[in-house]
Amino acid sequence: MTVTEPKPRYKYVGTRPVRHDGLEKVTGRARFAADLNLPGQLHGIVVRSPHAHARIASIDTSEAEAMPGVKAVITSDDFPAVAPGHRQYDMCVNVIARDKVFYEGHAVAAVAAVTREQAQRAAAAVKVDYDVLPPVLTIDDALAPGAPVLHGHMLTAGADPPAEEPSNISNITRFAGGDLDAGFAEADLVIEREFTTRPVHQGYIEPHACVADTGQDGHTTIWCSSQGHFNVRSSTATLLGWENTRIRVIPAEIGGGFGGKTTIYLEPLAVAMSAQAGRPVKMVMTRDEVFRATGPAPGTRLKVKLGVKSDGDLVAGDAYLIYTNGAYAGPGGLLGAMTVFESYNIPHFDIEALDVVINTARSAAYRAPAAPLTAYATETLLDEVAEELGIDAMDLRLKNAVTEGDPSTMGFPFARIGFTECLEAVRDHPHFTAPLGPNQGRGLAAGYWFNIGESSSATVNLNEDGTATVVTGSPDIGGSRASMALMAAEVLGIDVYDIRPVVGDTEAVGFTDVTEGSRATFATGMAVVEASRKMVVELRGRAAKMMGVDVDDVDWVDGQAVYTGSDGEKDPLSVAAITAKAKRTGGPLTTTGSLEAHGAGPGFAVHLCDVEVDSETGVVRVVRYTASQDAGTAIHPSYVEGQIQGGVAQGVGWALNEEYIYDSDGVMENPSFLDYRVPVASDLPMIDAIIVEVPNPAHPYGVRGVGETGIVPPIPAVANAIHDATGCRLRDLPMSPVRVLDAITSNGGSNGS
Amino acid sequence: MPVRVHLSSNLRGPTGGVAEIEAEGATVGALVDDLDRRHPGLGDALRSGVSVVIDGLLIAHPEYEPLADGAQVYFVPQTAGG
Repeated sequence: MTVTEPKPRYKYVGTRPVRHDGLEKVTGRARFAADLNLPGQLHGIVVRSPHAHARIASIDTSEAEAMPGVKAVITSDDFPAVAPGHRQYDMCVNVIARDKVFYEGHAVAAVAAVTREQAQRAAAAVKVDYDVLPPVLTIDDALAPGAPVLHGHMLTAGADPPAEEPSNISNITRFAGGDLDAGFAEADLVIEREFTTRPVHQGYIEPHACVADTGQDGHTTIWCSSQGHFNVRSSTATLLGWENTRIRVIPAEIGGGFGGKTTIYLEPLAVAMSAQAGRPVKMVMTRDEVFRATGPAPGTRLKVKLGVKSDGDLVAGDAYLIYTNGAYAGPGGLLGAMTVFESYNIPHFDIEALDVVINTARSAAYRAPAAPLTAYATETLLDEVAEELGIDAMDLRLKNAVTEGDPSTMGFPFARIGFTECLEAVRDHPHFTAPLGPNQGRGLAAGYWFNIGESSSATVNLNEDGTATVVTGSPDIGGSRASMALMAAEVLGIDVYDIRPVVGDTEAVGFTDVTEGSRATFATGMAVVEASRKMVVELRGRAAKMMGVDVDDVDWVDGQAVYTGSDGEKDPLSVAAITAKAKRTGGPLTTTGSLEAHGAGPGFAVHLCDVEVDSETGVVRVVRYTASQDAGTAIHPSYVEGQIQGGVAQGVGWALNEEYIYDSDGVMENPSFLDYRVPVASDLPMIDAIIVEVPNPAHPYGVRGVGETGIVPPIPAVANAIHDATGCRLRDLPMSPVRVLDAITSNGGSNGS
Repeated sequence: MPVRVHLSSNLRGPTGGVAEIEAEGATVGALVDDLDRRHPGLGDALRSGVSVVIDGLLIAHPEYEPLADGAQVYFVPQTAGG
C-alpha cells in the first residue's frame, strides 16, 4: 500500500476483518435468488424471438393455455401501453416486446406452469407470427444510406442542425476545446489510428432470477438478485402501472452484476403471472438467455488522432467514436467522449461520438461503461508516441497527466486526484524494472472513471446488549457489508464484530439508489456515518441523563461517554451500560441517515502487464500484472484489492478472448461459457494490487469509489505488452490467438490501420 | 447574486458557442432560469441530464443548491456507471 497524503489514525477504518457474510458465502448457506422456493410456486419461462428484427403480426396463446399444468400466459397486452417519449419506454418494451422485436432473444410472451418442464413445453406452443425484417447488425449497416430504421420515433439527440427524420443514430455528443488545427500545426508528431471492438458480456456467474408472490390484496413481494432493489421496485411498478407501495422487493444475495444488474428483465413478468395465477412464480434464466437477452457492453469503432511535440507535450487530440448500444438508445458514445482524453492535458481537442442502435440485445452498463475502449485507443496511441519519440512510456504519461486544478474535457478543474501518485507507485514497484523472459513483453496503461454519488439511506439500531445493527439499502456486491460495519465502528467505537451489517428490503430502510458508479461505499457509507454520528449525539444525551450532568459536559471517546465537566469524577459509560437503561432514558436507540451524496471523487488506475506470446500459436499468456489505483481511503483494503483484481481479470478477458459472435441473421453463435470464454483462475497470475490513498475531501473518511476503474487499463496494457513482445500493434478486439498469429505472420507488425 | 457559469462544449448551442457567462441566482435552479432568459433554450438543456461542479464538488441534482456570490459553476453532462 502506498499512502500519499497525511490522514487521521483510525482504529477500524483500514483494517481487514473477515467479512460478516463470508462464512455463509463460502459454506453455501447464503441465499441467492434461485435458492428460494415458496409453497405452491409456479415456474415461469419466457418465449423469446428467434429473429433479430421482425414485426409481431399476432400471438396465439390458446394452445399453451390449455396445456397441462399451465396457470398463466402473458404478452405485452397484459401490461399498460407506454408511449415513445416515456422516461422508461425503452426499458418497458425491452422487458416484453410490443409490436416489434429488436433482437434475437427479445421476450414476446411468458408462461407459468406447475413444473419448469410444463412451462417449457407450453412456451414452445405459443404461436408467434412474425413479419421478418432485415436486421441491422453492424455500424456500417446502421449508418448506410437507406438503412432500415429500427425506431420510427427516434430523432438524433444532439444533432446540429436538429434532426427532422428518424435514424439509427440516437445521440451525437461533441466536446471541443482550443484550436484543433493550430494544435496539430504545432505538433512535431501526429499519429492517427482506428480501433474496432465487439460487444462483450458482464459475465456474472449468477443468472438473473426472481420469485414473485402476488396476493389477493393486489400487493406483491419480489425476491431477486439485483444491484438495487429500489430500482427493481420502481421499474416493475412502471411496467405494471402500479404504485410503488404495492411492491416490496427483498434483496437476495447477488452472484455478480458488474453493471448488468442495474436494470430489470424478469420481475414484471413474474409479478404479472403471479397475479394471474394467484400463486408465487419463480423465474430463472439459463446462461443461454443471459447471453442472448441481457446487457452486453457496446461494440465500437474508434478513430483517435494525437499530436505531440518532440519533447512529449501533447498538444492536440481528435476523436471520432461510434458505440453500438444494441437495440435501444444508450450512453456509450457520451461516456466515451467524456473519457477518451480525460486523463491528460491536451489543450486543443475535438471529440465527436455517435450512439448507434442495431439489432442486438440492449446494452447494459458494464464497469466504467465505455471507458475501457477509449483507454484502449488513447493508451495504445500514447505507447506509439513514446516509441516514436524515444521517450519512456511512464515519463510521457507523467509529463501529461492531469493533476489538481487542471481542466477536464468538460471544462471544470479537477479537485485533488491521485493520478500522478498511481503512476509513481507503479514506477517505483519492483515489477517496473524486473527483467523479462524470452518471448515476453511489458505494457503500461492508465485509466480513469468518474464515480458518482446519488441517494442512500442507513439506519443504526443499538441492541439491548450494546451491540448494533446497521441497515442499508445497498446490496452487497463487493464486500460493502464489511465496509459499512467498519465505518459505523469507527464512529461509534463499537468493535466491528459487534455490528451486524444488514441489507434491508424496500420496506425496511430508506430509499437507496441502484449501486452503480462505484457509489456504495462512498455514498451509502456517508449515510452510515451520518446515522452513526446522530447515534453518538443520542448516546451522549442518554449518558448525560444517567450521570445527571449537562450534555455539553459529555464527550464520546473510544466507545464510551466520558464526563469532561468540573463537578468531580464520574465513571465513563459504555454503549452497553447506556443501552441497558434505554427504557428509562427515552426508549430504543435508533437513528437514520439519508442523503444525496455530493463530491464523488474521480478514480485513476495505472497497470503494468507482462505477457508471453507463443509465436507458433498466437496464444498470449499474462505472466505478471501489477495494478495501482487511487482508493482515496481504503475502508477495507482486502476488498479494495479484490475490486482491483476483479477488474483486471475481466479486462484481460475482454482483451484476449471475449466477443459476441453473430451469424448473418443476427443469431448469437456462442451463448455459453464454453464458446464465450472468460478467464478462470488458472489463466491469470496473482495480480499485485497497490492501493494509493489520496483522500477524497468530500467523504468523511476520504473514500473514492473503486469498483470500476480497475477494468479500464487492462485492454491497452495487454495490447502494449503484446507489441513489446512481438512488434505487432493489435487494434481489433479480442486479441485472440488467430488475430495475434495473423499479426505476427502476415504483416510484420500490425493487424490494424 | 452574480456567479460565473462555465458550459461544457456540448451545452453551448443556445449561447452560440460562448463558454463562459455571467449570470445571477441564489440557487442553481434560479441561475438556470436566469440563463434561460439570457439565452432562450439554454434552460431546457440544463434542467435534465446535467450535473454541476461547484468548488470542486460534483453535484448530480443541483436545482436547490445555494450559490455564493462569485461562485464558479460548471455545467457538465450527468454520468452513470456500472
